[in-house]
Amino acid sequence: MDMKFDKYFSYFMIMTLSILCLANTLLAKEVEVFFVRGNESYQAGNYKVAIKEFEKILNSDYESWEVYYNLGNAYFKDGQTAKAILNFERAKKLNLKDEDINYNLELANLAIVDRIQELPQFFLFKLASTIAHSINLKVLGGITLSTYLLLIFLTVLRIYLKSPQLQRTAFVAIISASVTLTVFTGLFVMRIFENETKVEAIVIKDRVDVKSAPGGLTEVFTLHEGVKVQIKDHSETWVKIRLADGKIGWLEVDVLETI
Amino acid sequence: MIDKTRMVKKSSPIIDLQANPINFMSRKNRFSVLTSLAWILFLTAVPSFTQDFEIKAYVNKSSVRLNQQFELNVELSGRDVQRVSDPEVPVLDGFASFIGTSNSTSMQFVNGRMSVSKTFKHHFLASTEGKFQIPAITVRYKGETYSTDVIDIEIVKGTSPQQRSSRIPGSPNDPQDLSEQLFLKASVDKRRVYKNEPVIISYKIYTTVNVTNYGVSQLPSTVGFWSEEFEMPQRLTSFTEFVNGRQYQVYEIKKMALFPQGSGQKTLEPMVIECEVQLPRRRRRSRDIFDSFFDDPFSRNTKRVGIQSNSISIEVLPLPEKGKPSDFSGAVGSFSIRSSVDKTRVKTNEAITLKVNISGTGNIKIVPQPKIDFASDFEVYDPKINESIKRSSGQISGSKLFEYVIIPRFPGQQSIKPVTFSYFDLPSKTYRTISTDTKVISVTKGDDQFVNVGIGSSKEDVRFIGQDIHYLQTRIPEFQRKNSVFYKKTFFYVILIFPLIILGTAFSYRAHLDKLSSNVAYARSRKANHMALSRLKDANKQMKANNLSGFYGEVSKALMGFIGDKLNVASAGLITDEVDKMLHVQKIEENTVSSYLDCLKTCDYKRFAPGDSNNLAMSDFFEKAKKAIINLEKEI
Repeated sequence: MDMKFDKYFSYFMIMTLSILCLANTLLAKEVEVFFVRGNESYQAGNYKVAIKEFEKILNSDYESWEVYYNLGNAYFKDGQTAKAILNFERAKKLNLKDEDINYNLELANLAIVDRIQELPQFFLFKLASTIAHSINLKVLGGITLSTYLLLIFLTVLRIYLKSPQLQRTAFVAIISASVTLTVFTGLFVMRIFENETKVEAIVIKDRVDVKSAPGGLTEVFTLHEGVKVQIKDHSETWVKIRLADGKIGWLEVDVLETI
Repeated sequence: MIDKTRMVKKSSPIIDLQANPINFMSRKNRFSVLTSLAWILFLTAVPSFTQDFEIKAYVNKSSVRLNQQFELNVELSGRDVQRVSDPEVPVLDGFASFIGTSNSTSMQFVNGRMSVSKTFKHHFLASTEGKFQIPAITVRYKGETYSTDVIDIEIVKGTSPQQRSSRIPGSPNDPQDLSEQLFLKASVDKRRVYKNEPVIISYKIYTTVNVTNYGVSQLPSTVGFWSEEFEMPQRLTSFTEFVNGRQYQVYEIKKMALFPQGSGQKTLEPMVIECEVQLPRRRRRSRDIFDSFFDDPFSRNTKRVGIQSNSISIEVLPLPEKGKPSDFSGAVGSFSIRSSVDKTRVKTNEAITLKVNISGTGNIKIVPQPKIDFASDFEVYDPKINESIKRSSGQISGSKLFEYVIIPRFPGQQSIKPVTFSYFDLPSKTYRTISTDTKVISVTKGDDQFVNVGIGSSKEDVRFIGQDIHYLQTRIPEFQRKNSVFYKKTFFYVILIFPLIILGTAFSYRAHLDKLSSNVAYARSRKANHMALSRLKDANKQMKANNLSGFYGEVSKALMGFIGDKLNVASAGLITDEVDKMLHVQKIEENTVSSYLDCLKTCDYKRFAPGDSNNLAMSDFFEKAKKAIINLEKEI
């Protein structure tokens, strides 16, 4: 009896898994079709169609920096600069170092009316941030993990090595691996922390008046489409935003879209 | 004063002969008639000395204002007035100062009788308030003394001395003569004003003589004022006004609105004009009455007279500090503000005209360009300013129009905030801030999309102008689930933890190895099972070969070796009793020990007293020995 149940259960599991896998691959195939169609429409100048195709990919819960990048391009060509900036920023979040993304984002940012001067940062933080942002999160994670594995390996090796000379070499290797690991873990944790806590958004309405309080009447300043803001806090329909220059105010939720 | 010589001629043919003291009827010839005719002619010309003499004194007004002139007229009348010495000027010390005297003579023939009167006009300036008496004036005539009555005069408090017109020194005319007949008066509508509140000042010529022309030789200085002149008609019109009981023709020649620029006491310097006046010819003194016959009463004497107006002082009050709006710029009066835009729906980069009109009465010129808080989305050009000032009906009014050209650069609902303007409201004497309404302009995106790029960009951005974005990514990417971050996946943690397990194992194994190499007892104990098992395996081989003594020997070795290894003693010299003792020391259960010892004994017995080789018995014993080892291993 027990044996039989086990058998059926395992069959069921295998079936489910394979169906899931199949569906997955089928969906992935469909998503690829959307991607190709989107590119074709873009090439033909049907930017609105291209936008729809690329959006379909995202609606099927798939993403890749290329999709965001291509979608941003389509929005830009369609004249929707804010949406273009939003998607370039999303692409950049997945792929920091791509030249095309950075170029197009910079070009799209030129259309922003508001010129916001970034506040100066303490140089060490700035350096750390620059280094952490010079590597994609995946690569950074890979390096961190590899260093970790290398350190473990070296430690094990050190335990079983008999020759004192080899032991000394292994020890030096362990020390350097530890230092490297500490640095990369720091950057990696910093990036993860940033990823999890720093919510940024793009203003997508033409022009919005930033208020001093949720539902407040006092205008603090005015922003225009495409400006990147950091979301610090939120109530149900209002969000507290902070600009790169340190200005703080409240905006209605629907004028923003998070990156 | 002008000589007011008046000739009253009564040329009657009937001569009153009775008045003649000489009786010519006594002459009886024709010649005597002619002579008498000559006499008549002569006699008529000779004044009569029999006429009574009279002296009178009177003032032109019994009540005089302080600092005003009055006239004391002393009139002598009689036949022989000319021979009378002039009366002395009374001394009015204490209440009036003497200015000067003019005189006039008149003759009258009434019913053939001639009377002459001579009037002395003494001009005085009242200097003290109060009631005073002018003492009697006396003259001597033919040995007799004639005197006038005492005259009462009252000097009352009057207006300020500025009211008095002054004359220009060196004027060719007799000062007393013209000062009351022609003067220039400056008058203001108020003397206490706020800063920037207009004062209307007008200059009027008061005259009783005929002024044919005038020219301004010195304009009033208006330093410290912003002046706005009213337009005067080309032809001056005159009206009549009574001043001190005299009728004057008044010509207003200049009218200005003055806006004081600073506070404090301000003095307006007088204006000087030169008038051309026509005066009747006059005589200084006409002792000879026949002079008047050669005087043409219609021929006029044209003179140029310089006259100076009074100066005027004005007290300028500073505007109150209380309630002064921050954007107050000095406008005083009453104003209104209006704004308009020419269109409210535009596309980006389309120009809109915003008109802001401030109008009202007051110093409109001072109205500053309103500060308009344009949203940064607008490009705003400097306004075109149109100013129109109306100078009529006694006040300065006007409007200032600011025309802004604004270009919305970005789409959206844009609003132009209200334009405010603050001024000091004169009627209510308070500050007021007026404002226009908010103008809402909806801006839609124009067609010229890329015009925007570059506007407001810095120099570094210029390199992008005219550049297109980079092309699409064409390679089909590796799709991943949205929001799937690898650091949240299980495999990440597996990768993270698994090496730790390996590391732990490695460490413990290393520790085990170390123990093995450093501790023989531990090593032997660790090896005991292994040894026992391998001996049992050998025993099994012997059993299969049916070698009875070999089998029991191997089992015995296994049992003894196991004990020896476990307890770290040499197994070679061990005997069953010793094993029994040692196992008891280890506090092992009696059962286990006895079954183990039982096996050992069986081995010894079977090895040295071989019986029949029973396979079944051997395998039974094998199992028993194995169990005994396992049981002991569990407990040891």
